Amino acid sequence: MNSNKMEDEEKTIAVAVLSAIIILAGLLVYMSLTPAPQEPFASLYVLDSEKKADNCPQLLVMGENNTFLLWVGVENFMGRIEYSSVLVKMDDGTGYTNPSPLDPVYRFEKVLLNKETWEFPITITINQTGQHRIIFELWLFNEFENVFSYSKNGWCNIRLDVLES
Amino acid sequence: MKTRLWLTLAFLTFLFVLVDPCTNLRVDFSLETPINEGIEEARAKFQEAFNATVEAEKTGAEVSEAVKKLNNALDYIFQAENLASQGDMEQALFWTQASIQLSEEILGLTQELKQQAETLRYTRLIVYSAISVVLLILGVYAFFIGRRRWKKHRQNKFMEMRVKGALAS
Repeated sequence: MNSNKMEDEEKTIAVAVLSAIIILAGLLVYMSLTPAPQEPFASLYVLDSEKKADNCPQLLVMGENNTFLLWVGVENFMGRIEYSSVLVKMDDGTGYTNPSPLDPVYRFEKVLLNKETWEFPITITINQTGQHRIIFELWLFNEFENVFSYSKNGWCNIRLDVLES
Repeated sequence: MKTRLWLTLAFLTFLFVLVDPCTNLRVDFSLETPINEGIEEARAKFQEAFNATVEAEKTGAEVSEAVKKLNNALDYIFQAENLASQGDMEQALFWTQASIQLSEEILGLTQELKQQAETLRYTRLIVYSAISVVLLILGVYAFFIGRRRWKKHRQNKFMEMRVKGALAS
């Protein structure tokens, strides 16, 4: 009778340990499969005509290469759809930026799905010699205030020297 | 008498000019104002549609179709703005109206998407609850059946041992 009792106890312990192992294994699998929550962000980048980051124009000669093509990209990792606006502004390189108070030369708008990347070409012609700066700003629509809000990390600029031919 | 007749006729003609909508549209002054107001209205409608899409997405709806339409509505607004700046007011007005119509369509679509998402959520909740209850009942049933069988098995074993003991003695 005593040996039976012992067997019962051993079985109960075995079942309890097995259950605990199964629960722990389940938790570990869940934790490893669930990615850590990411900080939401939206970013803006500018590429050259061949979609490379290291070959953007810096020196232009009037009548030769003063018309050039750039690719502008916007990435949406905000965890929701975003109504984004890219403003292109131009100055001589001395004005205030982030954001620039100038009126935009071009404006592009698109609604982006979460994790969507939007790339579009832009052709720019500069007809004045001297120093120039092209500023790209990313603005996101704030549906609570019904206005576009400046995305603080969403800006970049290209400095150019334009020479007489 | 003749002068009064002419005056009445002139007044009636003036009234007719005011009432006829086509005549009004041909006047530059009255065209520029509606097109700017139209674009403003189209933008306001677009923002309303965007906000509705955001709300629908929050409820868990799949909004890619709505986003595609939103981008089309936005293209129409840009088209209208370009045409208005070139002076083609008639075409600009056409694209403005097209954008407003599409935004209204999106508003309807987001309502449908919202309802679908909510129905799906409730269906999931009911299915998961039903599965949980069934599993619980099955577990309880298995526990009692198992215990009964285990008891029966032990009783049989005990009886066997007693018989064996009796036979041995």
